[in-house]
Amino acid sequence: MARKQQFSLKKYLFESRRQFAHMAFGLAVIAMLKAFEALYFENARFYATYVLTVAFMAGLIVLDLKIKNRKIPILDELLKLLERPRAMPGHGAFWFGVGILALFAFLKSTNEISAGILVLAIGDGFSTLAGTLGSNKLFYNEKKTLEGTLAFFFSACTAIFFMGWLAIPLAALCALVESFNLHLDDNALIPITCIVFFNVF
Amino acid sequence: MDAVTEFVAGLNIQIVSDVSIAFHYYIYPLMLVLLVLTLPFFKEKKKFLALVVSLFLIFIVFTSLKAYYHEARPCAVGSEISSKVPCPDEYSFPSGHTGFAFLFVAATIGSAVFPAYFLIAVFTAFSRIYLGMHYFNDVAGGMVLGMLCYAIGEKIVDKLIKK
Repeated sequence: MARKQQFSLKKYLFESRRQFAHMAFGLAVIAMLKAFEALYFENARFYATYVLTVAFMAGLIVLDLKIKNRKIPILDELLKLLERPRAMPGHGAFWFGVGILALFAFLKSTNEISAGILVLAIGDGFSTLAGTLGSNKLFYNEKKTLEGTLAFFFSACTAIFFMGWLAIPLAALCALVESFNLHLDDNALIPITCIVFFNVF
Repeated sequence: MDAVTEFVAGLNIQIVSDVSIAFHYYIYPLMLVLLVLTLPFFKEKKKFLALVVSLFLIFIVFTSLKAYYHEARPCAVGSEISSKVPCPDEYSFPSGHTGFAFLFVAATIGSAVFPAYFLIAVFTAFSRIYLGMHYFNDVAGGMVLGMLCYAIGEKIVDKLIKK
């Protein structure tokens, strides 16, 4: 019994590290956007899009090399620390990058973009951490828990910093969409939801 | 107008213009011919099927989004950008040529032909700005949508195969 608990704790600590890295990358992108805003004012979004587009193309090359089992110094060590053992190396990070680039391409307001990144990075991050510990499975999707969905909603409400009260329905919608098993990576699904939301409201 | 769009569209290099114009008119048949020639490199039949499904999907998605956003092309707004080919009537965002090219990139990741498709797609994206057809943001949107359409196409094929 004790050995099984130790094993679970090890997995949870690994997942925690992974999710905190996910959150840190998201916050770093927001920090980059704010830095560009300070330097370039209304052109900040363009400069951030340039950086992310280059990163996206580099990500494509890295993903291709990893599928071909090529060794990439430094990056291999980073992927070993952060990527799930049975997952395709770099796959999660790549779709995270695609999701963020989608926010920059399809939204005009830097506040909307920052809110979307926050929902993706913080909401999805805490959802995984709480969901792993939760035990109340959702009736429509047994792969997710109520605790995870609620954690997503409450942590995604931090988007209030950028969107005011509008962050609450945004967080609720994203938490709901994320709780379904829609067979698309959450890192792509959540930004799409944000883009649709901001185009409607 | 963003700095990169202004800079790239302001360039005028004959060979780049010639190839860009060829891509403008012939990218769709070119990619389809290339697909037929590189079929042996598609290790999984599933990827080829996903690509076929995505081609239909991308047409629907891009037509709808262009109509929804109805953003004018750089060559159409009477700005300092003059196009190197006649300015088309359709809307600008997102870039259909770029999305189409990146669809093939998504399908060939991990294969021996990925580098070729990747270079073609990157040049396609560049040429759209160079010709004055699109803003940088349009091609960024096109890239992302191309990848997403392929991912959705793959999921559709997975579901069909399971049935």
